[in-house]
Amino acid sequence: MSEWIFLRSGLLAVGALVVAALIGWAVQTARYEDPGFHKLRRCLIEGKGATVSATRDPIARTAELGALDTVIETNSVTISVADDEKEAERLAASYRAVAGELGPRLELRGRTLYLWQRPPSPTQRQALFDCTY
Amino acid sequence: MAVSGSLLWLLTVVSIWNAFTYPYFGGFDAIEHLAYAYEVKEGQLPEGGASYTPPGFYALAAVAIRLGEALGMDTPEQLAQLLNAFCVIGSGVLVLVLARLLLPGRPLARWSALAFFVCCPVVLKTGAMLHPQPLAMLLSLLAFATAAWMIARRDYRLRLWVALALSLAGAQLVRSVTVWVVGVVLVALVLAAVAQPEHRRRIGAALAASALAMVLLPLPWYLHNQSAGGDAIFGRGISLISLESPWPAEFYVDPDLPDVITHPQRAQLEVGLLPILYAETWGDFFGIWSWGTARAELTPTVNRRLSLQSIVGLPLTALALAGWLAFAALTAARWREAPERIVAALAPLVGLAAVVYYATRSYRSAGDTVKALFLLPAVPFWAISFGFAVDVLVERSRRVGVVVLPILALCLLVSLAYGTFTFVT
Repeated sequence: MSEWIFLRSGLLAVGALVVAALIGWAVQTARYEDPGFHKLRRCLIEGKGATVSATRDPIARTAELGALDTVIETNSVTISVADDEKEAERLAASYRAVAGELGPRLELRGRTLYLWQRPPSPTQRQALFDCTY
Repeated sequence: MAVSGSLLWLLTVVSIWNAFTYPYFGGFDAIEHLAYAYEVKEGQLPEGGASYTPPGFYALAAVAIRLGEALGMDTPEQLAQLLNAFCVIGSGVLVLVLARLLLPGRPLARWSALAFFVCCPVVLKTGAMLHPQPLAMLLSLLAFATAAWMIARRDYRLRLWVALALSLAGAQLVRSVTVWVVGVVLVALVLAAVAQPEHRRRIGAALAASALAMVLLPLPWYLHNQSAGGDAIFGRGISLISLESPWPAEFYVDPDLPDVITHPQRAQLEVGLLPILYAETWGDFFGIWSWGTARAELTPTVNRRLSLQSIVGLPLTALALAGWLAFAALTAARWREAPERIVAALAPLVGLAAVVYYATRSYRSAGDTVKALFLLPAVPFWAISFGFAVDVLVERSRRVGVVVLPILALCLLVSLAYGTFTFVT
């Protein structure tokens, strides 16, 4: 057998590896689910010992990845996790459109939006920032 | 000869340039390595830091620093970097020697192999640092070349056995992990004894004596490491026998597309074996060369340059890998005809296995224990595999050669520019 036959086999093997990597990427992309909301939920329950429930807030429920209600140090908060910052800003604008200027009760951090029942204390804010993904 | 000479001259110029322009405190764990060299200069071994590393490189670095001080240099540490530049140049010469031995009468293979080695950023980057790995590469390559010479020329004179034993013992006294090089050389010589029955008795006796020397010479260091760090080789209490891995399976197999091409740096690329090795070989995953602390900020422009490195690395890596697969299969099929090729067939595989093993045994969540420079002693064989592939490809079809060679040359030039410090940005 000539060296070319060996090299051709080597090139085919490398080609197969490249194709496998591309297929793997395509499958991964198709099956990808952003874990941001699930991570936040787990962090609140397991990391902070908070009780979480599905929110009835109609604006929060439009958040792409999900929304929930919880209570941090007796202060109720609705958390909405958007797909990106742009969507999070849209949610914040919707809140302001129906409730006016909410001041420190409404806080946007990246793609996560917090609507507090009353202005949060630094420790309350920190508790949620620890669970931001 | 003129082409090889020009390539070696280019390697010399770039390596020496890098030694004097790259900051001595810029490489991986540079402060630890520098502290070690200064401790050795004062006649003692350090505690903590890089104390688990054998003192071979630091002893030479200490002499270089002392010389730099005697010459009145502002930064005498640069002479230790220059020492590494000479290690890289010496390794380049040995790549040429190995290519001549393993692929005789094939100038294109030789030139391509040397060009790959000269332009590979991981070689140029590591050669610029104050780090023991370039010396480990030189000594390992000296051992590989000596073994290949002995087997190919059927030349088993005593002085070659002595050179082999000394280079292998020396490599272990620079980096303990080069113990895998000993394994490859021993396997190659044992198979040579089988393939060359007329030399079997001589190889057997001399191999036993050399193996004894390879073990006994670095033994004091291994005993010191065992008593000081709890582990003879790693010196850091790492379990050598446990096969449990702290990494998920994705760590070993996920190439992390498309980030390995579009964002090949640790700010955005996931920690994974293949992406880190690839990004570090052709670019700068950890931010020690073209971006990072005290260098350039990781701007989109810097990221684009890293991305370009990932792109030009693709055809070079693909051809080197295909060449190695072909070369290894060819060697396995005809090992009795040319047993010296076993060295080149085994080295990349065993070197990679050693890196995987080390990454598994010494877990760091940020991937700090996965570095392409650990593969440095195997890079010359990737280069030879690349040279082999180019030669076979062009031999098969001149037309393909006319198209492929300029593309490969361009990719190599882009990489050479990246590996030349100061021209990076």
